[in-house]
Amino acid sequence: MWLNKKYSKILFLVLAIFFLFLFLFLQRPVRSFFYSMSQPVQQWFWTKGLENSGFWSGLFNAKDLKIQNQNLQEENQIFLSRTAEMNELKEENQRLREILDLGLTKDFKLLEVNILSRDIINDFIVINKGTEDGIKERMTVINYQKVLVGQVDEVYKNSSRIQLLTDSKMKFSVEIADSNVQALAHGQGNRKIILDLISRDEEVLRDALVITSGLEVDFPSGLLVGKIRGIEKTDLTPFQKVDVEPLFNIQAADLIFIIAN
Amino acid sequence: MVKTIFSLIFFYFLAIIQTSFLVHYEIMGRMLNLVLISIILVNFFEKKESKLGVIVGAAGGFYLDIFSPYFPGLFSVLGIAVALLIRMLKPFFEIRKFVSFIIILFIALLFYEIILALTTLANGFYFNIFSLIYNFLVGIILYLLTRVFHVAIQKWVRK
Repeated sequence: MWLNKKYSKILFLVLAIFFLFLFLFLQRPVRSFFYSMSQPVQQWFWTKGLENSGFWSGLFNAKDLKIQNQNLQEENQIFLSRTAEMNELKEENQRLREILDLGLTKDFKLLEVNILSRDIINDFIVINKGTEDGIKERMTVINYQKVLVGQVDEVYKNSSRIQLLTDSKMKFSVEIADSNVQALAHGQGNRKIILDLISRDEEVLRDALVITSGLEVDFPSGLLVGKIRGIEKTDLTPFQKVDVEPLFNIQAADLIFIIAN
Repeated sequence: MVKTIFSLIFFYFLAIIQTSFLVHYEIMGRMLNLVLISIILVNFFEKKESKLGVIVGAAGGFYLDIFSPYFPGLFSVLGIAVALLIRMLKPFFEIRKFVSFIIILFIALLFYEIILALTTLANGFYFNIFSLIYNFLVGIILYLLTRVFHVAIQKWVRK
């Protein structure tokens, strides 16, 4: 009986190590299998969570929502006055295009995808399309407002893992809209981004929009990244650090797009 | 055997619920770790001779590995480590006592958070106290709920 107990412990240990090594070397096919199997259930739970979480976010983010509401009202006033100016410019532009017979600027070829799950600690999500749908690693992910979401990190048969732009390993070049200021955006995890390598002498304004600069092959230029919320300048470093609030909100996201071309 | 199979299926669906549904209910950037709390509960209530606690620790961790981008095996090893830690602590406490559970729950959660923060040090030290508090409070609620139905559940786990 003692021998049986000893052997069963050894067997259990051997089996555990075997399965661990199996998973270690076959993690892609194993993950691909589980993602394919879980897709319908994950999609259902993600949708239900999205529909029912409004009360929860209101309960714990009431103060933030109030500040956000005030900021949005102020911005709305500014945009209303700008809209009037833009309408005039638009009419003039249209007239000129008709005269010069210019073509449209390039469009993206977009693949519509749904979010299935999110990692419990890091800034990664899983979507419902993979190699079978033509998804490849390092493809850019945006939402319908052309806000940058992230980049395809790993591709499986019917699903893919997306590294969000706020992940701590994400670095990409950006520029501050309406200025020539270039910077390096660096994800900080937990939905935070900072901009680095901005000279201390450059003027950076709060609430300015940050967009991709297109210096990297992976990210087209002009995609919205976020808004500047905080600026830190010290005499100890030649660069200033800028906090950016990402425009993409995973909590309210359901449908996103992959740029396929 | 039936209990093991049921546990494997149960933890699979628990991991899906955690990563697809509970992500929308985060507080201070941290989500509820139902899989970990369930591992702690099973290991707390199981009999000394039973191996179910370690099996659910491994299974729960394995499913978290599947749905996370971390090094494969990290959560599996962590799950087993938490299960073994609870088995080591149990002889020092009176089982079925609320205070014993609170202490074991806190130690297990703290152990998990510290080891996770250390293993992901390359990405920065991310020890989040709110994660500990959130899971601790929900763990207590689930313990109390379990005690309300304890006759049926404990008899099933201890068979």
